[in-house]
Amino acid sequence: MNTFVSRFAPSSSVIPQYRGALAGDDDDEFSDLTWGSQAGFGNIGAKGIPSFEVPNLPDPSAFLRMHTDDYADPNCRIKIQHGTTTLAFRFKGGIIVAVDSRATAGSYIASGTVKKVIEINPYLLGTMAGGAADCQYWETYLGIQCRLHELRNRERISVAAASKYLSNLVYSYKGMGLSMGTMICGWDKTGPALFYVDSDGTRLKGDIFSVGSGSTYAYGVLDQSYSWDLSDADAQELGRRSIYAAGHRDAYSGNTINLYHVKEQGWEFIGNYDVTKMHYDGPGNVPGATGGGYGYDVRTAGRSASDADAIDTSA
Amino acid sequence: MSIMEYNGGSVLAMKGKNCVAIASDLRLGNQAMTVATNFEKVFPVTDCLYLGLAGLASDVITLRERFRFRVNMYTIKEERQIEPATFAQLVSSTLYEKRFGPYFVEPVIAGISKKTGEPFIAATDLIGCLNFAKDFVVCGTASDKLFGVAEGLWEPDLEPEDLFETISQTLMNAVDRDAFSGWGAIVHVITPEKVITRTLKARMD
Amino acid sequence: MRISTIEGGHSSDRGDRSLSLCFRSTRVHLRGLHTRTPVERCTDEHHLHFSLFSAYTQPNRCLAMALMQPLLADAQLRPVGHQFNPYSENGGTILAIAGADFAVIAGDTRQTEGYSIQTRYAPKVFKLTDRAVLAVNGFQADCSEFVKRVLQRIEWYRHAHSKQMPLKAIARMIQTMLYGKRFFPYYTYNILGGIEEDGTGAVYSFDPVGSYEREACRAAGAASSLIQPFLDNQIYFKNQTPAPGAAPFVPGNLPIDVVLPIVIDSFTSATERHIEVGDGLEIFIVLAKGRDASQLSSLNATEIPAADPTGERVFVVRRDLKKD
Repeated sequence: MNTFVSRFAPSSSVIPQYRGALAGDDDDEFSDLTWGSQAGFGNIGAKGIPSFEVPNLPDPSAFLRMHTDDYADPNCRIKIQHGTTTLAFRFKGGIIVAVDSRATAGSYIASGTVKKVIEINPYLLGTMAGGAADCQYWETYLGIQCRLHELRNRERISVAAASKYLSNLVYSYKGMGLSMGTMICGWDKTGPALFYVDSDGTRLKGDIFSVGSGSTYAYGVLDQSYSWDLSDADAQELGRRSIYAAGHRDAYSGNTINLYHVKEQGWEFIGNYDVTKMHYDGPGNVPGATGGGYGYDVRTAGRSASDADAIDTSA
Repeated sequence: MSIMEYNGGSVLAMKGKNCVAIASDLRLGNQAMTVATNFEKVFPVTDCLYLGLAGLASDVITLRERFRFRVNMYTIKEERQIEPATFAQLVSSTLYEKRFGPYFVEPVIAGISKKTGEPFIAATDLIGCLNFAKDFVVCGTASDKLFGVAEGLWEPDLEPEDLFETISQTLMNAVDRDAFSGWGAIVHVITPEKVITRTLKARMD
Repeated sequence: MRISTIEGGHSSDRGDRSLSLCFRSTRVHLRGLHTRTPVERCTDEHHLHFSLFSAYTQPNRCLAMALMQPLLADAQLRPVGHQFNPYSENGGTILAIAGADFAVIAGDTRQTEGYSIQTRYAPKVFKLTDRAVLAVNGFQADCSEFVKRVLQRIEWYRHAHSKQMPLKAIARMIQTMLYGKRFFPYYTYNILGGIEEDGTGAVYSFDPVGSYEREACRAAGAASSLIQPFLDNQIYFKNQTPAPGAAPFVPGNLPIDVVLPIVIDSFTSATERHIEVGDGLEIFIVLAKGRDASQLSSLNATEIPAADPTGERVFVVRRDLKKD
């Protein structure tokens, strides 16, 4: 294969500059370190950076895009899962993190039980939007680095430092086709801290973020009721309500809501809520719940002309 | 994105013992955005013949009106109700008229013959190729999922209530795996005596 | 592995407009001329919009046609594009279901390319350890290469630690192995099934670049969209409400004599409606330590000898599916 491929190899090219972080030959793929399990991270080399195999082509990222980008080409073979609504906001009681659980490949709902909040460690959360594998892998990797930081410095890593670590890491792969839009949430010496990091290299500190195909719907609800002085119960309800709105309107979001609350002692998992149950019945007897379903047809039942009939198109 | 997926939606029909059922979801979307959740895609043609149309919503409405017109003309000229098999040919020829600029709609027909009492289902592609099935027919964005579930759940000679259960479970579980269909469902079970119409409490995401 | 070239320039006797769309250059206009020579189309209508791809769906013909072209002196008409397509799609479907103390992992045995059947018996399900079974689907060459490497790493683990690799460790390892080829992915959909260290049945499903999740059931491959909603209904009891007074459903906790007929029905259904599924069915059953295997006797299950006969046991059931 290599002889054939080498015929297409570039004379001067993009490849050498990636070589720092990317493994070249097949033979280098497994070092002696891969003996044993290495906690699954057997491909982390001596420098602590995982190595990746790239196709030996003039433009490897174009190759990847051709085979995996179903947005550009719906017929591409390798379907990477997309579509999401995630949100996080800072308020006086900490940070609320709420996400949906749907993964779609084209119009097919590949999963309705995805964990889009990645528990990096007991006081850091990362959210997942874009490529599921990219987020899972790099946020697990970030967890390893955060633990190493603790061991080296005898103190927990700040959220700013952790997010910057991730941001710099994905920036080094810029243009290679990584796809992640993530929020790093945690509580450190400065209090609750929230950063948005994406695969373009953007890193933003902020109070309110929502990421994903349903983010516009979530922002609509979030902006309407957000205030810094929200009670814990109201803030949790706002997170639930915002993801519900996105799950209802956005075809690529839905199934269930996962709700987390980051507090001083670390994060706390509040609950998992079915979007359809939210629509018809609401979250039930939980803090912040106003009683009854979130669905507008539930609220307008019998009082509006709109629920009387199907859309009348005969006119 | 394909034009057939622009508005989303799915339709399915099944044969039972002396009865047929036809069902659709209720979503009207604009690509990923859900615009309405009360957009029915199954329409009565006669009192025991229904037509389901999945595809581009504007063509769904256009075709519904066009078929209403042509069926009325048939009824007036022939002075009798149209038979399901005859209506299927009408659908086919109406669609083939637009062979080179088709309506982006896949119709499903379900009814009971007034003459023989035989249940009848059929479907066509968007240019009118008829498919007379003995078991079930599907169309829309969830068609592959519908095929899979229906193949697993359907059995011959179902009584009306069992047929209702089968078609409802098939439709709901299929559209729950499809991003562009769902948000409620409506089922019509047609028997020689009556038509049972039920709206299902389905997932709203 | 498939490599082919697109010849961009030779237009005169081909008149194939779909191919010309490959090249976004002025040459496109030049090639837009319609010849009157009756020609065989290189691609079908469907691929017209994605002509870069279309050339590869029938690469042999494209390559052959290219070779038949006389060499043209005109520099403008020389080949302008080379593309590298190492992927193919070999059909088939796999599925796995976890129970309280067992796991079932199944796959059909048909291997296709396009509309042709390459073989009626190509196994897709592999025993990794006494308690882990891996099903792979997608591009057969990548699948067999990947399974080979997984087996190698599992062997290394056993040498290094003097014990069999636990299921959840295999799952994490598969993630990193898939992600290690993030920029040149294995075209494989993996489902790992088996028994966890706590004795429970488990299923892990993966996407081609390594995102994974533990689930109770999962279908992947060509007919996944046909089978998965059926499993949602039958395994998770989705959209089912128990009759008034009846006990509530417990999802993902079915006995094995309920699960196996569902697996078989899923594949017979998929065989009816999907052309890439059929021929044969292989069902692997992993039973937790000490679990009674008598329920498998009616199915003609054969046991695969275990390294440790007192631990988990793996059985295989082979059945026929329709061959048309």
